[in-house]
Amino acid sequence: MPMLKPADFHILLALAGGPLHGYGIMKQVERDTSGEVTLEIGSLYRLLARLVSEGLIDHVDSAEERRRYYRITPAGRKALKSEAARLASVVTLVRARKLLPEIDL
Amino acid sequence: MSEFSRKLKWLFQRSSKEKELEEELRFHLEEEAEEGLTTGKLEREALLAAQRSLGNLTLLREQTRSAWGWSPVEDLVQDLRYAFRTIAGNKLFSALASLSLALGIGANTAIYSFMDSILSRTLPVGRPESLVMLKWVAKQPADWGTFVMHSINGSTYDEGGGTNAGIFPYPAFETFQASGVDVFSSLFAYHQTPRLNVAAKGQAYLAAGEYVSGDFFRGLGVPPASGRLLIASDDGFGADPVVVISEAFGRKCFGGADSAIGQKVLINNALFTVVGVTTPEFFGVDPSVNPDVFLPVHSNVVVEASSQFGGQSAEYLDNNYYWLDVMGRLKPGVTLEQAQTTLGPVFANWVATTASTDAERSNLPALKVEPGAGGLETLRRQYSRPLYVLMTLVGLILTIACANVANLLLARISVRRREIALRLSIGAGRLRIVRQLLTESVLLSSIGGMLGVFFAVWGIRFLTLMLAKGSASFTLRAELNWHVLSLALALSMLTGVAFGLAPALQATRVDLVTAMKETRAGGSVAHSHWRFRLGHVLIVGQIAMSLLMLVAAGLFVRTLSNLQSIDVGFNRENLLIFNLNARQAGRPIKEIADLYASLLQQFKAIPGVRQASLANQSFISAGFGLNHHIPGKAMNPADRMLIVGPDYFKTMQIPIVAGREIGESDLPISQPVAMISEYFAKVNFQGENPIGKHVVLRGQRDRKEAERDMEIVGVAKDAKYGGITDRLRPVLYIPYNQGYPEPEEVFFQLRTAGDPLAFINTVREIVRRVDSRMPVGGVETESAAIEHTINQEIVFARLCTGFALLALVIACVGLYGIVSYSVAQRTEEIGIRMALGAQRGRLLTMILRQVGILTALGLAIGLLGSLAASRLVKTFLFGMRPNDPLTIVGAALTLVVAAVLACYAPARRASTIDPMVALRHE
Repeated sequence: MPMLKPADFHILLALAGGPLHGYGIMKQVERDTSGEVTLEIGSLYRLLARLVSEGLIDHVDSAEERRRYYRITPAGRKALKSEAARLASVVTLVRARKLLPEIDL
Repeated sequence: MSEFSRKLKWLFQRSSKEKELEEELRFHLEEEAEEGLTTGKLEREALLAAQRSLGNLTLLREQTRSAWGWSPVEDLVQDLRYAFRTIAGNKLFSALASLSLALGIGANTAIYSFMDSILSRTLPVGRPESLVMLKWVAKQPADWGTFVMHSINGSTYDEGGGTNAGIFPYPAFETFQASGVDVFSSLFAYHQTPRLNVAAKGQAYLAAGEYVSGDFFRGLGVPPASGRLLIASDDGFGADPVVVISEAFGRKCFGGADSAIGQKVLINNALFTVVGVTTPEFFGVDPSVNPDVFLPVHSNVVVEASSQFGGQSAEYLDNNYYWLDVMGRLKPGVTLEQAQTTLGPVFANWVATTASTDAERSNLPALKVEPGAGGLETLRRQYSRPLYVLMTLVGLILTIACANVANLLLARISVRRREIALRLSIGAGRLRIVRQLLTESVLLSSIGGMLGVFFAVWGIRFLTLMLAKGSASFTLRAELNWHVLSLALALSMLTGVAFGLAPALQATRVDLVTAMKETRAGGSVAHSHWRFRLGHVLIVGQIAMSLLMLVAAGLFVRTLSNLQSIDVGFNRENLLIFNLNARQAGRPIKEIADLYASLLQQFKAIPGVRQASLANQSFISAGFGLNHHIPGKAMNPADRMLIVGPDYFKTMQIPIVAGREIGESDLPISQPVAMISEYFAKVNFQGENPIGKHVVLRGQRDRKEAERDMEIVGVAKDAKYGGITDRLRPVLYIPYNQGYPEPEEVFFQLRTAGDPLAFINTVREIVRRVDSRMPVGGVETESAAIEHTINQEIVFARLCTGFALLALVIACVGLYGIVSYSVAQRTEEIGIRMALGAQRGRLLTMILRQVGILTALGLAIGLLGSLAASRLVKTFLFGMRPNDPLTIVGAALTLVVAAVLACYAPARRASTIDPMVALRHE
């Protein structure tokens, strides 16, 4: 499984909670990262189109013509999980090297 | 769903997808604006803020689309559609551009197809790469009298500072066969026959033939089309006389390959049986020969038995008679170098034993083994240099055409600057626009390329006709094969990019704001500056190259006119030539002179024939000599001879300067006489009166009984014996009916009233009545025969003139285009000038002066170029030096006149601009 790009990761993470439309994804990512990651609208739809073409997300048919909802696919979920696992192992490694303070979760 | 099929689905749903995207983005915008409202912004402000954050919507769409995965293909389709529209929308420009490219590409393709057929053609045999040719090289002998090669039937050529040849004595061939068994799977020899008389089914034909050794066909690995090919047991004294004929000859004589097998034919009146027919594509080993019949080598003693100079069995033992070409097929895994190391010392040892004096031993030929895949390089030697020159010229044409199209594009693109600037400003990428402009130019050049292939087809036919005019058996077959077509394709693509890239790059490097502000008719002077510099450079280049081509054309045309104005020393008008060979038709040697004498009387009796005579060779291409000497002196090897009939000089109209000419009164039984040329008198008698002096003729190989002691009775004015550019030769003329050598093949000359060719049917009828086995050959007029000897120069002069005119026209179109364009651009400026009182004449001068500067620059560069380049064609010139001032001045003047003409119309248009109209132009 190839590494996910940070923006892709955040989009998938946002969609993990349920289908959202483009604007909703943007807001959700902003909320998730406390405003640390802002998806430019210019790149957002490009990223979405690419993720769809990679089969990580797809469209939800909605009754409302104009709102297009995106939803995470099983493949997308798998990619998200493996990326999360990778990030977690990186965090563990970083902790082991004493680069981050031990925090009780 | 696989990724590909998903993409495919998108491709088909493209327009609905685009609509969806649009909707989605608009929704996004509204959401954002709504949120802005809730945070207390004004509606308008919120919308603006949202739009700002959205950025360039067009760019965004473009980027999103590119993620769908089809944009490269889609872009191309879109670009092509757009390019087609632009090309169709500007018909004059497109026609001019693609036509000039088509001419350039067509000329290149045609010339290249000839180069291809000469330089990269391999023999039509199996595995040609394992064939090698045996050659030898020696220092150029200062005196052929001190060289191991005492007699020769073939040719040598000078190359790499030495004398080279590919012919060997028969014993050398046997030595190679014995010592080469380890490196060659087969070693074979061949030798071109003289022209043969082949009689089949009662009909006589003149045929070209090749003597081939027994292993020839096996070594080449070619199959028969019918019957069997010659084998080793066919080649030897006492073998059954058999012959293999070519497919074309079989069709001509017997109506087909199969019906030829087993047929009896008379070759020079000796009986042979046809045992096989070669395949249609097989032309032997020398592309310039193309034999009709293949005979065993040893049959030459039978075939040429009738000739006094023909094959004799002694030749097979003669170590100093060089005549056989030798070729070999290397065993698998054996390299050319191995063959060289094996046979080199073998030949060195052998040839040392054939030298009889120290002088001969001091310059022995050394063997060299060369690749044989291409066959003999006669054609290559003859045509490759002229073709390189032509290739350079057509290359120049193509460059001029490219520069021209680039210029036209440049002019057109600057008209489209606003459009391009607009597209850049609404988000089109620069690369994208460059790509699109390139698509346009490549499309244009592809159209040019396609047209060019048609031009090439015509060009090849035309060139073949032109080149073949000189020789009866022209075998150079150029064709459009994949080599040639891929060159045309590559040229189209390359030229498309070459002339499209600079304008495209330049056009997209614009300052958007100023470009948008430009008026339709053109813009500020500052902006057109760079563009014009490029345009000017192109024009200067075109003029320089055109001058180069004009100089080349001038040199070749002057060479041709020099050649054509050469006084050949006889009257070439109204003279018919043809040849007969009664000996080959089976007439006994003692009857032939009488037969010819009687024919001559009948020809003279034809109404309209004023004079008739004969000679053993055609004067303009003669080259003949026999052992002879002036009593008390050694033989002069420079002397040449011609065996002539009575009234030869009267017929040819060569003036007699002293004594009398050989006439009807010189009978076989009377005192043997001879005539000489003025130069012969000068060289051999140094001012003494030659009349009454004697010349003694001796037989070949010192046959004493043939000796003929002749008294010189007359001196003829010098004439062009053996070619109009050949150096002057001392010529000895001897009668055809006073003993050895008896006449065999003779060329009749008929001086006619009116068109000589009108008499040919009467001639054929007379010959048929006398002997139907005797075909009339080589029918032509004397002036055509002379033209044939300078055919290459004629072709060169015509082609170069054509090419130069083409270049001139293309360059003038370019000049016209750029001046028209600049006038159009400056309409306003000119209007203002005129409104302020500028004279029309001064405006005209102003524009012409600019053209003048460009032309002068081009001329200066072209002049330097032609001074340097004309040296390269030195060997093609006659009667002039490469830097012939007259030619150069003429070429420059032509160019100046053409340039002024090309610019006059647009310049005049500028000077007649109505200031009111011009100022209202915007």
